[in-house]
Amino acid sequence: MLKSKIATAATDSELFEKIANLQRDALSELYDRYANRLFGLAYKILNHESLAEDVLQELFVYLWENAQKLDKKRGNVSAWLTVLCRNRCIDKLRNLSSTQRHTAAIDDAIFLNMSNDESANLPDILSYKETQVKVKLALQQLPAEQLQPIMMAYFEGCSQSEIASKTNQSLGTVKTKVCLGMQNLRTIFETELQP
Amino acid sequence: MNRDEIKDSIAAYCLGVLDPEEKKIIAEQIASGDPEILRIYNEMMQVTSALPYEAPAKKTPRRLKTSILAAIEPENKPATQHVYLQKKTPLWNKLSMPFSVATVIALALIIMYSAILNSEIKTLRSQISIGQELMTKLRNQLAVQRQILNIVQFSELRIIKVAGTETSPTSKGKIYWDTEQNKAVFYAYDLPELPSDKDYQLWMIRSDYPDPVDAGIFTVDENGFGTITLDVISDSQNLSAFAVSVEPKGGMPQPTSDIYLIGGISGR
Repeated sequence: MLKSKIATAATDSELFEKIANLQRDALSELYDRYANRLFGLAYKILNHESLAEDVLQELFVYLWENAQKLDKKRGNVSAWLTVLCRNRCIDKLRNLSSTQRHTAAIDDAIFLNMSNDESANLPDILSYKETQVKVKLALQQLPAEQLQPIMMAYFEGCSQSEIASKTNQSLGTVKTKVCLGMQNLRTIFETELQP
Repeated sequence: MNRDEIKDSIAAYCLGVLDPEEKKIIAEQIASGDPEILRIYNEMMQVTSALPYEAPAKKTPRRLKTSILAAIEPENKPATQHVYLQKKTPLWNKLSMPFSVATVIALALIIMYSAILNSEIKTLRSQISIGQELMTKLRNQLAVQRQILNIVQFSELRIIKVAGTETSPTSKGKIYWDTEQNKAVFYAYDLPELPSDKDYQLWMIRSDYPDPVDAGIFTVDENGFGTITLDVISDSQNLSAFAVSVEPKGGMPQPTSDIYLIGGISGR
């Protein structure tokens, strides 16, 4: 039963292509597939359920309205949606500063142009739950002083200068910790996230 | 920014924590297709793409999907602004639409009422105008009746009938003549209306004059009624007939057109 369901389920790319052809059912299915995890991400960043709902609404409407312009053969839809969702959340978080207001749009454009490479994303063969556990374990292995600026950057949208200010460290120190932390994470992920 | 700094900044770039200037530099480097830069970028993106897994999934409210699907309905497609959840709409926003609608309806009603009032005012003005015209006519008729009464009350009253000629066979008239005071009032009935450049002219035919004598000009209303008063009829014994002709505005010394009414004085 489960196997037949999996066999008949459309891939993300197929759904994406259908959305580009304005098939509402496809958007509905893509929503069912990713809404909870995107909502979790948005909620973690914004810490506000209503704002998180707004982000998801904007995201899926944006996807619907722009699907025809986007690459129908997009590789990892999951990662792409995650980036769009996170960028919107950060943009909302920074909403007070005019210079940063359009960050999401700029980041979207950069991402759409440059990150169409499937290899840049986690292997799809890992299930969401499994990946989640492994990522958590991997993050636990990272020294706290390196993990903190990365979490502040990713989930709070802090710039390196802001992290330096908030943690009473020099900008150079923060830059070094971010760089080192990301490199270490890469090494850990290479081990932990392999199936 | 030297090459090492660029390589070190790629991680920060993928996390989105660079300043705009730095971000631009790194983006250009990635776009240049430099293999080493691209490799680092892909590695860092892989790490970044794992970070959201740290956030536990959260069940979305059912209304969110409904709201999204409603927002992408074909009739909502042209709208560039997103449809947001109703629960978050401020109270004044909720009230603004009904209030606007009510205001528009109220304005429409006021305009309609104003139009009705204007129409009624026009009608009333028209009725007043008609009433004033009627009053003027009645006053004129009253004046005529008084003139008749003034003449009739004298015993030496003569009534001379004038009749329509072939030119206007249905027309008729009467002259009430106070022979004692030699005053008379002439009434004409059913005479045709005249163009504005014409007048009716009353003539006295007298034995002591070879030609008709001018007795005054008059006009008629839409009913063909007209009147003229003759204050003094001198040497009335020589008067033999009255006649009416149509003449240019203001009258002529002698008749220049056909006679419309004529009546002789008999039985003297």
